[in-house]
Formats: sequence, C-alpha cells, structure tokens
Amino acid sequence: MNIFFLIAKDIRLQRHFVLPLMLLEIAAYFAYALQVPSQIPGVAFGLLHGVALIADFLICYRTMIAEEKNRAMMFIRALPVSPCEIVIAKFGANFLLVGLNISVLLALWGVAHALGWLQVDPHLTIHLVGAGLTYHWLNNAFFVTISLVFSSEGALWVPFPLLFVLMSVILNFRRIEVALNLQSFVESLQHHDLAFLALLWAVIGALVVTCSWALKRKRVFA
Amino acid sequence: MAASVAQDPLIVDRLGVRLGDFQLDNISLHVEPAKVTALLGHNGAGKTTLCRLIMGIVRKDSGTVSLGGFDHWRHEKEFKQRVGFLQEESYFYNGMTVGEFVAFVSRFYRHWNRELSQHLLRSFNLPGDKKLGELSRGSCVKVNLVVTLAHEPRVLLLDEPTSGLDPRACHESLRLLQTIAHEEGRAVLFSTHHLHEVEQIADRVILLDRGRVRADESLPSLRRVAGPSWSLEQYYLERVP
Repeated sequence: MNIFFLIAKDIRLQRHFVLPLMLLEIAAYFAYALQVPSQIPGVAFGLLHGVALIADFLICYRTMIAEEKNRAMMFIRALPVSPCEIVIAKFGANFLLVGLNISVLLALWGVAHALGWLQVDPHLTIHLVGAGLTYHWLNNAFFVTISLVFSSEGALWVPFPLLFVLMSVILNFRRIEVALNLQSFVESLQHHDLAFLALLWAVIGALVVTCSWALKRKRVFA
Repeated sequence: MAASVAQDPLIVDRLGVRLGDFQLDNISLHVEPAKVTALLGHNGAGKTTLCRLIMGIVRKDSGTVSLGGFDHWRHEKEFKQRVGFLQEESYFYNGMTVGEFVAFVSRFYRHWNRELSQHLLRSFNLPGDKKLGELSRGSCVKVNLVVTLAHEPRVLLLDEPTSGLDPRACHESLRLLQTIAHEEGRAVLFSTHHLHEVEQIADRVILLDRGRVRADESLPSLRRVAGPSWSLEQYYLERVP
C-alpha cells in the first residue's frame, strides 16, 4: 500500500502538468510537420516518438524536482517506507505519466490517421503500441535512475559518458556481435518480438534494483 | 493524549560514520522511556548526523541501533513505525496544503491518532487549507511536530525542535515534550545548543563534541552532588572546550 500512496502523491503533485505537456507536444509536432511537409510521410511516426522523448525527460525532471526542491527525500526516508518501495513508487508514477502521455498521443495520431489527415504508415497495432510504450518507459527509467542515484550535479553530467558508450555500441554493433559470437542470439531476438521486449523489461528491472540498492546506501540527499 | 505505555529504551551501540573530514566516533547511548534526554553540543558537533544515523537515513559505517528488538537497518519499517523524527529543516512538498500533507503522512502509520492530529492542528493555529510553501518557518516546525507526534511513537527524536519558533510556541512545545515523556512514558531525545532548554525540561544530558560523547549524566544527580551552586553552563564549558 505504501507504494500506492507514494504514487498517488506524485500524480497529485503533477496533476496540473500533464495537460500543458501534451498540448505542448502536439503543438511541437505540428510545428515540425509544417516545416518539412514533403518529408512527413517518411518521418511522421518517428517524429511523434522524438517529441515524446522530450516528454520522457520532462516527466522525470518534474517528479524528481518535486523531491529535490525542498529535499523532501529526507522526509520520505524518515517515514516507515523501505527504499525499495520509494524506488518502485517513483518508477511507477513515472511510468503512469509516460504511459498516459504516449497513449493520448498515439490515440490522437490514430484518430488523425483514421480520418485521413495523415496518409502514412504504419497502422497502429497492439505490438507497435507495446513496443512504443516500452521504448519510452526505458528512456524514462534511464533518466529516473540517474536522478535517483546521483546528485543534481552528477545527474547533469552522467548521461553524456553513458550516451557516448551507448552510441559507440550502436555504431560498432556488428563488430561486437562477431567478437562476442552473439549472431544466433541477435537473430533469435529479431524473430521473437516478445523476447526482445522481455529483454528491455529486464533492463528496466535491473535499473529499479540498482536504484533501491543505491538509495539505501546514499549518504547525501539532494 | 494516550495513556502511559510500557516501553523499551532506544539502544545506540558504537555507532560510527565518516563523512568527509567529519567523523562520528563509536557513539553509545540509551534513550530511556519516561525521560527527556537532551543532546547538547556546538554547531557542527554531530547532533544532526547522529539523529539521521539513528533513523537510518544516512548509512552508518559501524554500530547498531535497536528499539524493542527491532534493528533500525534490518527492520527499518518496524523501527520507523515506533520512532517519531522531527528534522531540523522542514523537508516538505510546498505544493501540498497542510491538510493534504497531514493526510498523506497519516497513511504510512498503523497507529495514527486522527483526533490528536486535529487537536494539535487547532492548538497550533495551523490552517488546513494553506499551502506548505506559504507558511512561515515557525509554522513549518509546528506542522512537523503534528506529524511527528500524531502517530504516537514510543520514542521521539527531535533535531532542534524549537528552531524558528516564537517564544510562546517554544515554551508550549517544550512543555508538551515534558508531558509526553513524564505522563505518557515515552522516550524523548532532543538536540539543541540552547542551555536554557536543557535546564527547563531535560532529565538527562549528553554532551556531544566533534563527533564524540564527552558526558552522559542525569541532571538531577549532577545537581544533587554538586549542590545549589552547580550550573549547566559551567559544566558544559568545562567538558566542551
């Protein structure tokens, strides 16, 4: 129940933030679309996720700044709540807000598509929605982990080396695949969407466990 | 207020931590039920760090803290159900109203006394619909006192509880702590650097200096042994140079 109360607290504190955020995203989406009308058929769906990526960060920023602004984490840590519950609740609140944001955006996109305003592929399928949500939850989980594990100053700089490593892995993926003899594993993931999603969820789970471990051992709270 | 309850002491055993240049060194003490214990020391003596270590908010390097068989680290939630901790600074969500905040905190405690929380809100003149961010520092301390007392903890751990309070509120809060200890049998440990507060309500005083306990004495017995000429100020200055 503690997790539920903590999630409810975050949702309550952010209740005035969600609607302006979505309006801002929709405005940004159409502002981009109007600038490159000829390229829209090719980038429409990617652009939607690009705009939502900014929201993944802003939602994390808002929910974490609510704790940091008045060092409320010090207060929460004094309550009879375990670090694990605090972390799960923080991820839960973020995932709810991100899920709500993506669901509304995809629903609007689906409506626009159905009405013929967007003559582009892909059609929305349950797999595509699931993959899109997981992608944004993973992005958001990455931001939440950094802000829970590090202080504000650390959280500002930590993403850069991590993103550098990630980009390097992507750029050199073929070589890594060969060097570590991962061809059969990668091939099986390409043929099993659910296995790939499960892998992403395993990463999210690992981030939650890391945060719980770090929060219990933290000595200074921002 | 609740009736008197039989209790175990809060036992701190060889608690230690190093934080940068500062070290809290093998602190051992008992916080006895039905007594007010004052933790007295200069600014930077380690009072706040000790309180946070006891609550398990800051990770220790060594030692144990237990209350009625519940270890503050292994049985964290049970331990915190039994200890009320008032922090020196008010770490709140400024967007919440006083009423929302009290309701939020109440959900985490099994023995939340709603009547007591309402009574304290009224007696402290705290408006339930006012946002926490709009309150004065003194009012924030009062809100903190409400949520610390309303779950009727066995042990009260108060880090400079009168900081920011006006003289009347300060006097009333100190009297309240004395009542909670002497009439309800709860253990009270409060940190301060005001000698007059210690003289006013404490039964026992622990002198903390640069992370070490310099003295741990019963005030009545100190007065009895030294006679009427005894002064806490002189005692303090002799032991804490």
